[in-house]
Amino acid sequence: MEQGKRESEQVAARALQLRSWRAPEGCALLARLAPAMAVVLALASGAAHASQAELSFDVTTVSFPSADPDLTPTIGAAENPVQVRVVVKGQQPSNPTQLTVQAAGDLMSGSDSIPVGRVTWTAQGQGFVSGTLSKTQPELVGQWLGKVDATGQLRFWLQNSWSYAVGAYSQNLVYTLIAY
Amino acid sequence: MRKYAVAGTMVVTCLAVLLSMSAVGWAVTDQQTLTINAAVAAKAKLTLGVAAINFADSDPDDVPSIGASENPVSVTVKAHSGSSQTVTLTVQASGDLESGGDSIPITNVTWTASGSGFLSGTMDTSAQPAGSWTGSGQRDGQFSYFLANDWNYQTGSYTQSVVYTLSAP
Repeated sequence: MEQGKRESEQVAARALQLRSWRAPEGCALLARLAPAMAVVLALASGAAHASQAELSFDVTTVSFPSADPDLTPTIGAAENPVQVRVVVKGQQPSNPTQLTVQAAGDLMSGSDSIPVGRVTWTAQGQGFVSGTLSKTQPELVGQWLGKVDATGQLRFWLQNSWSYAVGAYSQNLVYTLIAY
Repeated sequence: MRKYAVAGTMVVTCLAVLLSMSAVGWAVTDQQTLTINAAVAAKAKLTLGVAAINFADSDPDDVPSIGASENPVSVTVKAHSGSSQTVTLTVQASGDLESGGDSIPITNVTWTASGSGFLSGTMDTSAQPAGSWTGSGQRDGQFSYFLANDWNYQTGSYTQSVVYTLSAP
């Protein structure tokens, strides 16, 4: 009987131990495994990632003046060329960086519109590429590998037409820089 | 055992999430917005294929209506206008056909038109409609001119100017 009582007490003590261990058991287990997890992460990632990405333009607005379509079939923006700078730090040589642009819609003046695909740009500068604006998908403006400190010039062009209604048209372009 | 299983599941789940994050790679980003502005102002441009038309002398019995030698004359109308605005083309003669003191009524000259929006009519010293359209665009048409022939005409070389006016509000 005495032995049975001692065994019961031991079981109770163990149960008490386990109960007191239950509340933080997940966190405690994670804490104990943290060093191992850190090693796993380091092995899995293999390389450092970008720590800083900066995109800047020397203007916030690009303007196309009114022009006779017969004399000016393609209108250049008054601000051409537009300076753009891309800075990415903390990159390993094989890590990519991309700059894209997507229009928020067509050029709008009240209910009148000019298709945003009528706007194109030409690019100068290492890594920068020319293209045509789209409202349905991001269009590539530039791409690089590793650390980046690139300055480019973008020139914007609007295809002119006699079909455009009189108005003051506007639309926003969102440029997105992603560095991995 | 059950609590060990729960804890173990939590650990495995956390590891899986963390490993997947490392596999995708986290990225740093930046965004900037440029605003595009484009101005389209009202414009009107009219082009006629010739600067003068001529009616040859003819026997009124054989040729009661003389067609101009230059028929048909091309006409091109180009306009930037409000999308609901009316673009109009009119023609107005500066007087009758004159040869010294002799004259042929300008209303003896008519024209027929082809092309969407272009209108046929009769010359007059008041403005006459020659075309009407809605909104911006380029329109191409043709005018053919005719002079009603008559034995009453005095001999002579008659001339007059007509002015075409294109309006794009």
